[in-house]
Amino acid sequence: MAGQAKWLDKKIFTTGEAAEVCKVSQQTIIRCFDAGRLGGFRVPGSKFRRIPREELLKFMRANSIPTDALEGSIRRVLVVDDDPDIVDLFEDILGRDGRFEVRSAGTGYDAGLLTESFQPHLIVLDYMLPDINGNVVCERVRSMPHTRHTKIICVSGVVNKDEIDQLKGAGADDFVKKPFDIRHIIARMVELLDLPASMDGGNSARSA
Amino acid sequence: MESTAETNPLHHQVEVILQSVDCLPTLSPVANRVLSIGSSDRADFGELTRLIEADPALTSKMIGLCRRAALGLGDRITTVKRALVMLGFDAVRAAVLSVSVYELISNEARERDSQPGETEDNTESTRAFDRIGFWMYSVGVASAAELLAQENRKLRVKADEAFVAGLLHGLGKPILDLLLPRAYGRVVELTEQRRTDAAPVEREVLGIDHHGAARRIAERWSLPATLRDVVWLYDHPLESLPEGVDRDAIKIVAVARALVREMHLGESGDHGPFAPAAEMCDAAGISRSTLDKVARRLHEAVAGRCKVLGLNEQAPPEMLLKSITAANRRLSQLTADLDLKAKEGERVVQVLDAVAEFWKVGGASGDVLRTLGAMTQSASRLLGEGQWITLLDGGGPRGWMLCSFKPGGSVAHSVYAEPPPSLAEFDLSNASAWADRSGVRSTLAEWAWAKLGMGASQTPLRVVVACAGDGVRGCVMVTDAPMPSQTQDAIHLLPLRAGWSAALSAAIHKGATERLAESLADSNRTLAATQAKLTEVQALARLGEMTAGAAHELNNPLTVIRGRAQMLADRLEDDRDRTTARLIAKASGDLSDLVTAMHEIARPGRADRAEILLSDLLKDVIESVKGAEGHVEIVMPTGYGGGLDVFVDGPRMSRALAELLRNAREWAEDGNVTLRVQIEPPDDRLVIRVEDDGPGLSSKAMRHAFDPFFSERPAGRGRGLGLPLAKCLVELHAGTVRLEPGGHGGTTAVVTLHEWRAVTEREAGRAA
Repeated sequence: MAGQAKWLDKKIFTTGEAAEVCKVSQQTIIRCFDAGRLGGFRVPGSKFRRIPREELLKFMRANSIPTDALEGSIRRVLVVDDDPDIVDLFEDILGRDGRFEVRSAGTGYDAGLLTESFQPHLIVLDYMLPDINGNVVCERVRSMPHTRHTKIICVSGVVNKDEIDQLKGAGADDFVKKPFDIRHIIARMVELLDLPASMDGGNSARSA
Repeated sequence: MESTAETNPLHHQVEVILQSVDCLPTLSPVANRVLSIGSSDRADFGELTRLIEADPALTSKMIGLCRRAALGLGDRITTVKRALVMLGFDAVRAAVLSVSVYELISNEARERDSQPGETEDNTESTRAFDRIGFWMYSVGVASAAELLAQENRKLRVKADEAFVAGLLHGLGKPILDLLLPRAYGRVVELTEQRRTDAAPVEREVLGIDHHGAARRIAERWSLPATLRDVVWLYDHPLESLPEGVDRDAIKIVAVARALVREMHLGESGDHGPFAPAAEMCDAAGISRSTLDKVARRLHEAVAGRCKVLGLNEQAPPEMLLKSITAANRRLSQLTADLDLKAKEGERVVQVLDAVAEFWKVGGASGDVLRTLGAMTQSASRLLGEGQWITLLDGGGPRGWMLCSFKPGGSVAHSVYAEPPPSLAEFDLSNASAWADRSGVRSTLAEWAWAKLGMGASQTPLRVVVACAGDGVRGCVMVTDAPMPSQTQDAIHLLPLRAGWSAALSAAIHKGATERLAESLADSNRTLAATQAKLTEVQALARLGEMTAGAAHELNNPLTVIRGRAQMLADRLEDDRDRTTARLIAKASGDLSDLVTAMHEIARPGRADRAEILLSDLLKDVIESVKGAEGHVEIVMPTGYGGGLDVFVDGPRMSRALAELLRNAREWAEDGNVTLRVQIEPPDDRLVIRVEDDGPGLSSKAMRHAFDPFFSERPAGRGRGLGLPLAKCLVELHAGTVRLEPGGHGGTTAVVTLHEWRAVTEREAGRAA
């Protein structure tokens, strides 16, 4: 646990650290760096290679290397809804589950800011927001390079086929109608985030 | 002759005639002088004698007239002076006037006759005005008037004045004849043909009658006022003579005229009917015995006067004989006329009978075919027995309507046909214009005859133009009946043809009016339906606004309720508490479904069609209502089995059928429901029937079943949106859904889909 936690806030990695995170040899990292498959820079005035966190994550995803070591098993979830009761409900549910770190936004603007700073793994997005509609948020998230892979689940009380198609077109990964079954929505989140399927898995992660 | 821009040629002609009248020579100086001496008081007999004697011809004729006038004294009047002394100034003046005018006109006529090549008018006429006959008639009237004046002292007219008035009353006729001999010949011809008086014909042909012409010359010659009144008014009804004219003189001339015409003396130029002299006497206040006396002496008097004027050398018996001959001639003429009229009358009666029969049989029916039938019947009756067919151009788009008829007049066969190219220029509405083109007519007849399959005809086919105009563009009849000559019937058929036209046009208009009324009623029904639909749509639009808002507003709290209830259910240890929490969660879910249904009804969107197997669709339907008791039997159309593809919005159609099925199972006795699928004529529509065996619905429930939230079940049970949602979803597929009583009790919901097959590429191409 502690061993994993030490990487959580690190921004720049040496080739040795990267090898440890990726569980490969340092030579492999160096080779990949030199070949340009792993992005990074050399320290000015020396030949030491340095790898930014985003480039490392990109490299790990591209090569199907589990990112748990880098990110921990906690998934960051951003709940965007203008109804505080809904936000409370999500915080409560996801908090109890233990596998999620939850932040919330009540407007599309706040959602944008939080996406930048919080770097969520998944966004639960209400379609009808006070300032902009959910599809606009989706498009923005998909257009930024470092949030391109963020999962998005849209929720709405309105079931209109055209609007659902529009959301899917804008990049939403799933659509869930309000009022939802909480088991169903958590199952969808687990699936999208590639977490172990059962609640037990979550509990074990928490206890581990 | 100056050509003017007159629009009315007759008006122009009148001007010319009046100018010509003015150009006639004036009376001789002697006559003028005699006329200028107003009365005997101022007369200088010596001067007068010298004046008259200066003209030997005038003198001899004047003396002759005077001798004839003064019975008993006649032999002693040998000189002008004696005439003046014995008979007085007035008598001499009258004699001078008579002789002068007569001589002037006769001389002028002789002179003009001797000038060949006179063409004032191109009207050809075989008849000419009988001048001698006319003057004989005039002398007759003059003599009769003179005798009447002598015998009757009550009418204060001097005998000599009466003579002049009688002699010159018809002065206009010889003058008009003098000026326009050919045109006047035409007047004479028409007057005889029509058996009418000359004046109206003169007005028709010349624009002016002899009264007008005579008055003009009387003014120009300064003839005495009495004479002017007579020439103007001699044939005016005696009862209504105007004030201020010499009525007595006019009356005497009128009676004298009647007497002379009765006695056939000379030729008056008038052929119209006239009142008998005896009746005229009564009107004029002359006794009939006086009339008889005058009549007995008339021939002798006329013979003498004619001799004096050089008209005719005839003794009274000869003259009588001539009168009788004239009378016989006239009588035979009248008899012939009468025969002709009687024949015509008979024919007219036949035609009128046919007209009456026509209206009775069907002319007034207002039905085009019955009217045509009645037309052929009346034609058959009047023009000859045989087969009759009709060709009608009613102005419709389908060409001409050809009909044949059974003996009773009912339609045997009728077809619409465009005329063949060989008849393309033939215009049915102007068929009479083709009357002289027998080739075209027989082509038309044979074409129509063959078109109706009438078989070969033994006799040549004939065409009868039935009617044109009056809203009928044209109708002709074709027959194989032998017919009388067409020219003779052309006029007699007029009333019948008018009747046919009127009846046919009325029938066609009635049909058109009825069609208009029907289409108006249709339009009204459509309008009412559209208005109802509009109201419904507007109500739904408002409901849509509301439910869209409600869906959003309600779903958030429902989400919280459901989510919290689920969390509670997971955490609670006590089973009953956990059940309670789950019920809360479920209820909020149901509530959410209701809101969704309302939203769907209010804003149905559009059908997202795809081709799916009907059997798969029905499987879905039954799946969605499983759990309830009872059995659902599916009956597919024969020959299709399960392999029937439908082109629908699967989820929505499934939802619609599920709602109907759910209702049916609730209504059914034991939950048994039949889903019967059929493909029905006329357009291969897909009909899905959901039949239950329940107690059936009340008519009120049937009527309101598709109203949102209507339910006959006690309040609190059922949400009442199932059927309205089903209706909405079926209508999304341009289909209909209705409830009807089932065949064996129960209720059947019938879904009808007209557009349920995928549009083939060929059809799509055609549509594009």
